[in-house]
Amino acid sequence: MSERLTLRSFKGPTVEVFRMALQEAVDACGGMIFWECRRTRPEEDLRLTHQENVHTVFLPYLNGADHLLCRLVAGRLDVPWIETRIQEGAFWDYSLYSGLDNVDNFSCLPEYWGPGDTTAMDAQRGRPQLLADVWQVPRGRIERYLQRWNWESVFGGSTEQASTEKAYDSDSDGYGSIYQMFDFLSALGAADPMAHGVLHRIIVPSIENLEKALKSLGKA
Amino acid sequence: MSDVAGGPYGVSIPFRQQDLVRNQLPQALNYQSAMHFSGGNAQLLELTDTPSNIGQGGYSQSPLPTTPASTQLANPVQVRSLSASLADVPAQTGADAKEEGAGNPSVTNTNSDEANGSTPSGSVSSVHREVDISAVIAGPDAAQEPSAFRDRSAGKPKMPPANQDESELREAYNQAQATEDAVPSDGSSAGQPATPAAGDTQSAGFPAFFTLRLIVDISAAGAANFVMAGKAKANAPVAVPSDKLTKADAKLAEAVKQVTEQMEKEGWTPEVGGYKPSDGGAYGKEVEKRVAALMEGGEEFTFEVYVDKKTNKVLSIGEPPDGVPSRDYTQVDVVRSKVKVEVGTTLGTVNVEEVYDIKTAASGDVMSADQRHRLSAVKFGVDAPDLDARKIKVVTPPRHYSPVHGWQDHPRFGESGIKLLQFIGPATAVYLMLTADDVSAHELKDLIHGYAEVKNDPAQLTGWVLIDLKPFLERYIADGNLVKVALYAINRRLQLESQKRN
Repeated sequence: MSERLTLRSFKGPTVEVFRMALQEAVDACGGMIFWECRRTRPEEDLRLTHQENVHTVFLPYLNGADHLLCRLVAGRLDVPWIETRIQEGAFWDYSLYSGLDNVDNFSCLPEYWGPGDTTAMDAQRGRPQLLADVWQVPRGRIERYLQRWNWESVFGGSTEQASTEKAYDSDSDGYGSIYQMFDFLSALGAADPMAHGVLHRIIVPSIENLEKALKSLGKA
Repeated sequence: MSDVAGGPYGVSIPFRQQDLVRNQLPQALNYQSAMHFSGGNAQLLELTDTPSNIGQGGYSQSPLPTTPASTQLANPVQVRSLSASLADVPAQTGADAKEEGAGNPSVTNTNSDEANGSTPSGSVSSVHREVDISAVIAGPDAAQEPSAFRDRSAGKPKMPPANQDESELREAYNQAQATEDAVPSDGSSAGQPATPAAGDTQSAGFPAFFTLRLIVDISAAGAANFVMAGKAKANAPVAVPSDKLTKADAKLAEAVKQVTEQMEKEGWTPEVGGYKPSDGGAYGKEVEKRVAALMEGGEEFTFEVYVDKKTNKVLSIGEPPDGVPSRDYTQVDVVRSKVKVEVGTTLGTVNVEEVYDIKTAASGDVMSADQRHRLSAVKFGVDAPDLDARKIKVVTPPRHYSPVHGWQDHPRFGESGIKLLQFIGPATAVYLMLTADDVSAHELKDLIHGYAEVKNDPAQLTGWVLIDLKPFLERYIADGNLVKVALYAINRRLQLESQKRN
């Protein structure tokens, strides 16, 4: 994928509880998980990291089934989770959820997908206080990531001209770098599953089954 | 036949084929266009559209009409629509792609049956490449032309003020026809002799739809295809730099176009299971996934390649490598290569012909210096200089799904721009090249603006074609003759559209 990467981090449960919820969600919808077993096909790729009570999942893009599965797990656990994405090698963004509900969104470059009205742009602004409250982290640890990038500085010049300013001194990457997302994740207490994840094999349930499970969960 | 008048017996008589009827006419290149006529009528008078030898003695004794134009007039069978969908096109085999005589300007098909005057079948599989390019030149259908465009012989000719320009284009076309044998043959690796290998997709196995493209609309892509597919000459110098449009570029762009059209037809949205993920990138993920599936099995393209930033070694294909931080590798959407790309292959100029990025941004030309640097390193090698200034080809779908606006024409160009792009070639192919560098994108904006200003004025349109469009196309089509051919055809189509609007 064109420098695209989507990671989902869940906050709260212990490793055992999280894994159990994932297992149950998959089983209930007709899928399967083979723990610490190597995948045989790219779409069976599941990578997990657990760092204290933050669990980060990598799943390949599966026409949206990947998103629904994570939503279902979070719904069953009723915990906050965040979907962070590197988009087309250009910028990163996130969607913050509480259980089934999408409560906030942020994008470094909201205009990338096209001109939107003010409301649409504002919906991508990101609310640091809300994130801090939901995720139970000090606002000061994350708020400086939630800044919009300057279009010209990202797309206008050479690498030498690109901004090297970092949100925090301890970061590896600055504004304008897609890898800043990993610094942000680190601030949320999440570990990168691409670098440190344990590999598992998953057969993700069908969208139809996941949809049914989500509906019944929503009603409950 | 000719003999030597008064020659003594016993002296050998030189025998050479000659058209006695037309010997006295001006040379084809000096022949002026039949300006009092247009469409099919003009075509009948077109010297370049007439067989050079018709029957013994210089005139045709055939009871059948012999030129394509006369064939069509005498036998007005509905031919296949020029806007036939790709699904209608059968795969073209190598055997179908046999070469015909160079420079034969006949209009439709020239396989033996049809050349003898039988009804054109309209079968695309029987269309040969050289013929295709001529078919484009046939220009507008006389039946579809406005009445003002038809036979003007009854009165004073009403030529637009820019008629001189039109003549210039026609002359350019004639010159192009005369010299088309000399066109370069390959779009890759400048400086290398063009010797397509057996099985090379740039030769016999070239899909039929590209030849169809040449019929449908003479396009940048089509012209480039013509250069590479139909006129390859062994050891001919290659004049097409690597950043120009190639047949392979068009192939990929066409796949992207096809996929996005299908998605729109399906009514695709990012919503799944009743939930709408707030992921603006869902459209791009779906596009890339489908394009990879559509082109699966082809050897020249490899999708989703993960490359070590330091060594340029391929770490994995189709999925991220295990245990490697994302910062340490580059994801490449598409690699077009000379050899099969495998895990462990070290990429670089030796084996990579092109890398592509599929982007669904509102502005297709956006590529950060960082990303340009990373992708350039894959193509040119990690130690190559000026990596963040190199050009990387970006494929942008002509139709765009926006979470806010739904399906729409690419917002950057608007309706006028899309219309124009439809004239000058498959939109995706043009986009592909436009987004190769920012300068091109700005040029296109100016071009579209200029077109919008003159599109209702036939006289100014021709001037715009020559002054504005010509240099633009020259950036992407290496062969000047093909540019002229394209300009001629585009001008005719734009004029026709302008007349319809007026």
